[in-house]
Amino acid sequence: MKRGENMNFAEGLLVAANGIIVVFIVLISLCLVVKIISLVVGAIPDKEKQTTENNVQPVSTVSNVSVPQPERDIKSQGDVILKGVDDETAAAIMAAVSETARKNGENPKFKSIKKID
Amino acid sequence: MSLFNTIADIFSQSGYVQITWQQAVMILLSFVLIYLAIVKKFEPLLLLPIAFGMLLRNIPITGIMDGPSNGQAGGLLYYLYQGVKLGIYPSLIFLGVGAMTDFGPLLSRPTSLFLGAAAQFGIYVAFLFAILIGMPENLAAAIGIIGGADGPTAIYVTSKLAPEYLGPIAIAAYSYMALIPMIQPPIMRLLTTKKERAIKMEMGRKVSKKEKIIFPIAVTVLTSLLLPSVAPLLGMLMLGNLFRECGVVERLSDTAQNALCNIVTIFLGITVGATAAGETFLKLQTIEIICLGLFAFAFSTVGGLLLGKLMCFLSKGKINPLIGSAGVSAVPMAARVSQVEGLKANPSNYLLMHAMGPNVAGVIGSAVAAGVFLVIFG
Repeated sequence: MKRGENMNFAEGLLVAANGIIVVFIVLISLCLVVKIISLVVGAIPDKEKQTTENNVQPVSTVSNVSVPQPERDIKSQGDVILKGVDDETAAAIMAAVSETARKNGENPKFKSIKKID
Repeated sequence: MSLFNTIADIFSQSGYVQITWQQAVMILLSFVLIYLAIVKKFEPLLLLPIAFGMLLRNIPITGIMDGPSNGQAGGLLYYLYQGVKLGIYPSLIFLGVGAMTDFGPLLSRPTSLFLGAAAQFGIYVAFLFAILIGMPENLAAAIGIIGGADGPTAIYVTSKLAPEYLGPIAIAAYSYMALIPMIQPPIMRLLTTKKERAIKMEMGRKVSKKEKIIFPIAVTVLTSLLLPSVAPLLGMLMLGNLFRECGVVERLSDTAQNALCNIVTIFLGITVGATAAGETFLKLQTIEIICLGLFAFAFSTVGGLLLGKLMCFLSKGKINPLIGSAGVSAVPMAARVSQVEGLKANPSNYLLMHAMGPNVAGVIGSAVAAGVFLVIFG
C-alpha cells in the first residue's frame, strides 16, 4: 500500500483487524513474559533476603549480652530498651533505620532507643 | 523624505498591513488557548508553549518558521522543528515518561496488559471511519492514533505519515488528553452498573526489584525485534524506566524526569504550535480531524471498559471494570478518573493503583499500534 492512497472500506477493515490482533498478540506475549520473569525471579533464592533473615537473630543476641537494668523511666520492649519512647514511635524508628541501613548494605542492631530533649 | 513618509513606509511594510484573515483568526485562537492553559489549567505545560508557537507562527513576515534560502539562515522555529520532523522530541519525552513511570502495578497484575490492548480499539474505529469518509490512509492512521491518548506517539506517527497535518492532530490529541475528566466519566457510567463500579479490588503481589529491572530490557528486545519502527519510542521509554529502577544512575534518572523532559516539552510544544499556520489550519478537514479524534478517544474508552466488564465477569466480580478505561495511555489522568468514579460509587474504594497497571500498559499498547501503522503505511 502506497502513502496517500485512498483505500476502500474492506481494505481498511482488514488493516484495522490486523492491527488490533497484532496489538493483542504483542501485549499477551508481554503478559506471558512478565509471568515468566516473576516465576524465574521467584525461583532464584534472594541472597539479600536470606542475609536479612540471618541477621534477625543477632539483634536479640546482641541485645541479650549486656542489657542494663531498666530505670524508672525506662521501658523495655522485647530486648530493646526504650528510654522515654513509646512502642509505636520505637517501631517506626526501627523500621526507618532498617530500611535505610539495608540500602547501604548494613545490618542494624538495636540496643536501646532514647528520647533526647 | 519627510517624517510622515517614513512612518507610512514602515507601516506599509509592517505585519499590521500584511496580516491575512486566517492569521488573525489563528492569533485569536492562540489567545483562547493561552487563556485555557493559564486560567483553566488545561494541560498548561504543553498547551501554553503550543499556543505561543501558534501565535508566533501567525504573526506575518517574521519568517520564524521559514527554512534557509538564498544563503540566509532560516527562522528559529524552523531549526527547532527539526526535532519533531526527525522524531527526536517524542522519543526524548518518552525517556522522561519512562523515568517517571512505575511499572510495579502492571507487573503485579500482568492481565492489565489486556486492558491496555483493548483500549486501543478506538484507534482502529477512527481509522476505519476516516477511510469511510474518503481520507487518504496515511492521514486516517495518524488521526486514529489520537485514540491512543498519547501525545508523543501521535506526534511521532503524524510526523512520519502525514506531517502536513501535525498541527491539528497534535492540538486535538493534547486537547482531548486535557479533557479526559469530561469525556470519560459519562461513558464509564453508561457502560457500567453502580454495583460494578463499587467493586473493591484486592492489592496485587509485591514486585521485586529484579523483576522491575528485567522488565524494561525484555520489553525492548521483544517489541523492537517485532516492530523496529517503534524502537525509538519504546526503547527510550524503557531506558528511562531502567534508569529509574536500577538505582545506580539516580542523576540520569533525575535529569530524564525533570530537566531534559522540561526542555524537550518547551521545544516540542512551541514547534508543534508553529505548524498551525492559518492557511493550512483553517480548513474543513481540521474540523473533521478534531471530530474523528474525539470519536477515537471515546471508542478507546469503550474498548477498555468492555474488556474490563468481561474480566469482571470471568473473575467473578474481583476486577472493577472502571480500570479498563484507564487503558488509554494518558498517564496518570485516566487512572485518576477511574479512581474518582470508583470513589463516587463506593467512598472506600481506592482504584488508583489498580488503574495504573492498564494505564501504563496503554502507553505500550499505543506505541505498538503506532508501530503497526508505520510498518503498513510508513
